[in-house]
Amino acid sequence: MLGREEASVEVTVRRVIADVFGLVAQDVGPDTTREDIPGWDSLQHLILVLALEEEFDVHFEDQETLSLVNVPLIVSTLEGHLPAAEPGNA
Amino acid sequence: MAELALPTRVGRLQTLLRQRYPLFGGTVGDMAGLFGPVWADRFEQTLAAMFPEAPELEEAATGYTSFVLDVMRRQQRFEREGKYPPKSYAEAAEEVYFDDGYMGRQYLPGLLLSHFLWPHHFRQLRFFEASFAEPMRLAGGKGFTEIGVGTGLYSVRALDLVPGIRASAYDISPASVAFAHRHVTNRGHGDSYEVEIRNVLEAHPPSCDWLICVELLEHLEDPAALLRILRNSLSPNGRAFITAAVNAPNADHIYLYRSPGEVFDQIYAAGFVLQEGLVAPAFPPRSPGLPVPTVVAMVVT
Repeated sequence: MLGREEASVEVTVRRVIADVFGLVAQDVGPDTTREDIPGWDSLQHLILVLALEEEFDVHFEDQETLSLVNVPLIVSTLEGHLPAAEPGNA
Repeated sequence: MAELALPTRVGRLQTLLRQRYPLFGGTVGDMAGLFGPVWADRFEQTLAAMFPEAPELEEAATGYTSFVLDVMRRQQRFEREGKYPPKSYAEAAEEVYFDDGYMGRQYLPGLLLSHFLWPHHFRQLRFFEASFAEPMRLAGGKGFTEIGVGTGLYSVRALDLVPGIRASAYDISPASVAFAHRHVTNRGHGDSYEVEIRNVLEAHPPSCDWLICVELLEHLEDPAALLRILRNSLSPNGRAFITAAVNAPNADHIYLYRSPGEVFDQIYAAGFVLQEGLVAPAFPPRSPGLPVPTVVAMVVT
């Protein structure tokens, strides 16, 4: 089960993916992968990565950029960039 | 249609991309489907010359993916801002041409592989072969000059296609000169090729009958000045192959051509006569009005 911070990140990630690919939020689940979304090619992938960078104010290195191909991987990679949650807030 | 059987190294690259960089895993198959055996043969020759063993190919693939990601990031920024970031020629030279590590790891392998993995770059190469190198062969060309050698690919193809021809080439980047020299030599043309570090804006090239200048104009603050130098270097009956990149941000692109027409205008203003041209966009626009990277290639007299 995800903690509150993780859940918040995951919800935002799913919303960003939906926005980039012109979907409704319900179309993007916690386990959605690149194969589930038509049109997720290399160009759209980078548009998604830039949207995530802007949303979370982070910058992904090349290897990270290439690895962000499903919701769990995006969330776990973002967790490595975001400040750790304060004790008691999780 | 039966799937094209890929030669050894092209197949190795396809496997590598699929396993390590799945986002680009379909690129090799897409290109094979578009261009068929001619593409596969050219690509295999190039890989055999420059990245013959698996570790070298792995490094090149890594460099290519970094090159592509960098270009795509710049394209997204360009779409938002409508202009290239301000950068002088001196700054671009310092940041790119004189950075041997960046040139060797990312820029040159990326640029070379892009000619076989990006449809518009391969179309430009094919246009060069059919509309410039072949006429040079038919005319019995004895020598050509290349300004801005980059990876050496265009010199290599001209040397491949025109028996007995000799080449003189110039570039400001030591890394480019070394890479191009290795490329030409590994393809068996080392004795026919002289390449030197020279800024032709300061030391003009000698007169020539056949002139190649690929993807250089957009790297300059004043490309019209270079075109005038090229026109003065070309003999009265000479022929030149000149290209420019339109709406195509890159680390070293500082002059923004917003349309092919802007390139043609500069060509005419320099005194050239356009004989043949190719305008090849990288991909269809994702929405109306968005700029698309486009190559403009011209055979001029």
